[in-house]
Amino acid sequence: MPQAVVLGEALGAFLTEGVSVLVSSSDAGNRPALGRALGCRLSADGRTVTVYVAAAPCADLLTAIGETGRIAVAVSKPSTHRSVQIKGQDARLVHCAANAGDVIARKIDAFTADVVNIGFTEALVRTLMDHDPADVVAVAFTPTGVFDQTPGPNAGTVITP
Amino acid sequence: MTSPPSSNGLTVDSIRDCLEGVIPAAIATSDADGTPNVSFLSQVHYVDSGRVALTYQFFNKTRANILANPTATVQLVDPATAAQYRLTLRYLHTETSGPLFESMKAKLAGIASHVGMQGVYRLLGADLYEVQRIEVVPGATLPPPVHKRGLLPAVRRSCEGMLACADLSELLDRALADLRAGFGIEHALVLMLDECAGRLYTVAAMGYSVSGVGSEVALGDGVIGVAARERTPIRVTHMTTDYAYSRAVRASVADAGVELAPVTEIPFPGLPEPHSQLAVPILAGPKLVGVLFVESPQEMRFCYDDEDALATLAAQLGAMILAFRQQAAPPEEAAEDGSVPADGAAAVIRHYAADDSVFIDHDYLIKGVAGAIFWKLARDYVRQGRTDFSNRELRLAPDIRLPDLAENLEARLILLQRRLAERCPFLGIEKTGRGRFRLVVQRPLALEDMA
Repeated sequence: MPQAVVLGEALGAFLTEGVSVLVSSSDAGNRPALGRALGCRLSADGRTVTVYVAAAPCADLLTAIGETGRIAVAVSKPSTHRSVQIKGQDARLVHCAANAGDVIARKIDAFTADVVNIGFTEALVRTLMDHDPADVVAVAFTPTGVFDQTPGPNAGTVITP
Repeated sequence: MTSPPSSNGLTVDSIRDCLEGVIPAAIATSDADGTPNVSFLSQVHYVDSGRVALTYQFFNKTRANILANPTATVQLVDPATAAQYRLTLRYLHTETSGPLFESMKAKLAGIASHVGMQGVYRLLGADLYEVQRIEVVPGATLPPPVHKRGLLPAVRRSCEGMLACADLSELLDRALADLRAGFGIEHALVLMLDECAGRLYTVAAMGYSVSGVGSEVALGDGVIGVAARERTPIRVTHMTTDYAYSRAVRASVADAGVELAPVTEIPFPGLPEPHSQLAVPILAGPKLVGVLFVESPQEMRFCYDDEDALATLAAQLGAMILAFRQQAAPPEEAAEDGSVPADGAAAVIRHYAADDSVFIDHDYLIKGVAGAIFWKLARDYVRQGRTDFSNRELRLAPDIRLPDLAENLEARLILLQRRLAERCPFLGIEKTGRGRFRLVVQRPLALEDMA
């Protein structure tokens, strides 16, 4: 079992910037599942990452997480290409925090500003991130590995968080 | 390739707009132990209705995973509507050269330069995948854009128009005029292949301040040269210096390995900063005969559907070119003498035998086969007073030497005729019937043969 890693504040701040967040898992048959997250946060102690996803568009992903607990989350800032991937093995559905809606709204605003800045329309980005608040679920996990994923020769190297 | 067994009937054809690299796609894989990996993708490339290809740029975790466990999940976004699709893929194999590799490489170069990743994104291989399932991801969408132009009606009109053309010259002009009228394309070239020299030369142009007729591109240079070499459409959707022609001209002269004075180069007419380029090979039967090239200062101007439309036009062009070549040569008839007496000061026609380059009053006109043809016409005119000629006698002329001449003669004559029209007001070539033409001379000619 890989050791848990504690993520620093800088990385925690990056997760809440105008970033694009992808979530993947693999099911009991080792088939990869994939979905887009609405938002992401790091706990104050740096030991738990929570991602928010809409359940309907991510049904296969949530099934896979339920079966295996495996998770990989890619976080990327479109305007700079800075990207990291965080992996864990104990992903599970958790209760949505009361302020989840605010976290998601702030993240979508920041993400929209970042991609509008590089030429996309606000209508397109808002449509892409559109969701039913009642459909939002929270998935939490303990990070066991963090990797640089910025395009280039260093992509894939382990980051000391 | 059969369509994937998606119960919703979707094939890769249905979602091609998602494959232009506008919004990065996502890919999830998992290793043999089941550990998932998720990554952004700069390009998912359309191969056919049941296959896509991904770029292999670095040996990263995604690549290691698909070699160990060939199933991948990819999520795509339609850049106009924000509709999302999830694809289940199975890795087949990797190609490191050939048409698919080259078309992905060109497109990636455009995407890389657009997102500031020039020199970072580089293609090591094209990873081919079978698409096993396409699923619509539930979510909000924007209304699809209304297309101002219908490509299919424009293709039909253009193909019908081409069928009515009587000769190659009319065909080329018609094709370019239709690109403007039917497709709104403002800048286009037709280049023909010189098989012996391994080069393409421009025979028809539209939308440039100088026509560039006679300018040359080596096989493998830029989008035109790569499209010709690989016999596949090459499309770049953003400005990139990787396929620029300023470089191509210099390189091709160096490759030729002969000392050519720079003055015998006709500048390539292309746009200084094309943001979209598309080159489509023209095939006559199994043989490459040329390239249809279009470009635009606007990025993302040509998409997959434009590529299909122009490939269809190129197929029609190729079929017409083949038909013209196969037409039986008409019987020789004596043409009535329509020559105009030449007067004024003699124009000096200088010919260099080494490369058949021709200069008129010290100005470069043409070289190669077209130069050899012109030199024969000029000599026959000066020595025998002849002005009327037939294509057949040029094919048989011992001093115009090229094995593929029979096939390329018509295009060479068009090239010569257009260069004369642009460069030399007192000399011209006029068609006098099928397979016959007249040299029109309005000043006396003085010949200088530089052996």
